[in-house]
Amino acid sequence: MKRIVIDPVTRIEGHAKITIHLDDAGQVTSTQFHVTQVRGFEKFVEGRPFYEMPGITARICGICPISHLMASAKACDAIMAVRIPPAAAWLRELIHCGQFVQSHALSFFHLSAPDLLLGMDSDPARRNVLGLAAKHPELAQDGIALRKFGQRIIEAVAGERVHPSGIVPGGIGQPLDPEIREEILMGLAPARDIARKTLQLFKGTLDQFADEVAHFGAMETMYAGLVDAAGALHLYDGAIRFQDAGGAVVQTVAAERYADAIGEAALRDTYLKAPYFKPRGYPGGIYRVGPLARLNVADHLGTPAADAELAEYRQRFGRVVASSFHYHYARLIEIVYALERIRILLDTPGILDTHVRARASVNALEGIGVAEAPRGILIHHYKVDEQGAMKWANLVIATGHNNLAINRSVEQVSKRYVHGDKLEEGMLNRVSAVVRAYDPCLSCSTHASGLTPLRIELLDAGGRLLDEIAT
Amino acid sequence: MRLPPEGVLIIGFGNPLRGDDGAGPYAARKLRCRGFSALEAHQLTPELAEAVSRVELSVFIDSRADLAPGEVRAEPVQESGHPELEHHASPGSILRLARQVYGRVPQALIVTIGAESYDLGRPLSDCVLRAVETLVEEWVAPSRESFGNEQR
Repeated sequence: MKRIVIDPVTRIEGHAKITIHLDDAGQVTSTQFHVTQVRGFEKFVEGRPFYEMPGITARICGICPISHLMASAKACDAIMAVRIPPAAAWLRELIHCGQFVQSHALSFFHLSAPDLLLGMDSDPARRNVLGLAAKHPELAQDGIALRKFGQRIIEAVAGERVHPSGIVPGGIGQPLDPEIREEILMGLAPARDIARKTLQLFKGTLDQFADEVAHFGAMETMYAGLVDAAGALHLYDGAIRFQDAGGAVVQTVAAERYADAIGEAALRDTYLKAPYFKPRGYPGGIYRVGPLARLNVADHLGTPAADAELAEYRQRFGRVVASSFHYHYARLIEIVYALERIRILLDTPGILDTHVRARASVNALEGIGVAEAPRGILIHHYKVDEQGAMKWANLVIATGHNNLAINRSVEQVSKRYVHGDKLEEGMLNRVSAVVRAYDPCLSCSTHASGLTPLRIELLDAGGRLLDEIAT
Repeated sequence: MRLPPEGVLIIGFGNPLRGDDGAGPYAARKLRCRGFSALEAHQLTPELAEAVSRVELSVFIDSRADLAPGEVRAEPVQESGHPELEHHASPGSILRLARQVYGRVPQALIVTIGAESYDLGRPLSDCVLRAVETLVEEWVAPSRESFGNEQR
């Protein structure tokens, strides 16, 4: 028995490692994706006033704090038993769409494009955003511009680019300034051009990745995502729809009834929980969330350009797209969708209304908030005492839903590409790349991705070093 | 000597929840109030390259653990190509990105302030607070001239 350890997996958010076991013939027998740090937010928020929760839980993540703010504020709305003013809901969704644009742009342009546009087997010293900038400076400019546009929306509407203070229990901190509305409208056209151009570029590269498409988590699982009453994608609200591998809707549950459908298993070798679809048990209830799953479960997206892209996507790959390689494609379509939603929201009569916050104290001792994070469904579930002090919290983080799927994908890719007792950087990069396809956000609060040098060792059954790669 | 702030971009970075790590953002905020173009950031990110490419001088302000508490040091920044530039970066890699993507790189220096404590939830320590206030009043503007001219 031999063991390969990839530690850390690079170009993801947070820290993880991968262990690959090989038999004496050099064939992969098993793999394990480990998340190597614990955050503990569920425990240390106990005793805090519930209205602090959005501000506290936003600190879970430096990349997608908006998602935590949304889910947390919605859980607080439920504890206050208020229905927030319409303008507040629109502004929350507007900020949320800005978050999708910037987060998806980060994932595609900064983290995955080096693999996709420079090549899985290209020189690892240049397979990064600097190498991308050297070879495709216009693309790097586009990535920066798109991310900046999303961040500007967050900053302008919610107060700050990272960990904004403007998303509060009961609504939004302040109404939308008409000048900010005009500024965002002005930025939409160039952002849409970048999104369209990037989609065309990506679609043109797909034929090069036929083998990766066939082996990057190409497997039968269920899918889960939020849909509105008409079955359309909704990022901020809606019910959780579970779909089987064949495309049939298995169950749709109101977001606050998530526990009826979702169980959580603890695994031995990782701190990341492993949610599963309860009626099918563990591990048979494996499902995927995030862009790929959202595009599978939604009947349609509800905006014209994104729906046209969805139609082409489904024409090429079928009604249910099974390969996790296509998370990239789905992510780009979602950028188009988010930009269209931003336009729709800004054109909504009443978006400038000044009544943007409902005020109340504790009216319920339990609250659940659910929203789509860029990486998938995010659930915040709180219990408080009569004074509003937190007694208990359960956070089901988007990446967690994909834990079982990431593990299976790592195994599939390893069995396809890792052989023998000679390591090749490109084959191990593919093992990391399939993890990147999910854009996992493992422990964003550490902000340390990429600082640790990549070191991969190949050991024989006696622990003898057979080969080693360090960057 | 006080120089006009045009053409200068101040980027103060650090985590305001970690005691003196918030020195950079605090300095940036104070300087913005004094008419400078100044950004506060938890960490440096690639998109800062665009803003950096448009100015004559970038001044990065950060805290530092290996200086005496309250000590201030200013050094020129050289371009660097740290390969792990992802969603955070070093001043040098921001400069490299600015050159590669926008074809222009400004002169740059990094001002570091010795930290006393990085404890969670602590405010800036007294010596760091004084250092920032001194820096804002007396240091940054002259340093633009001296370091800027050396780099030309």
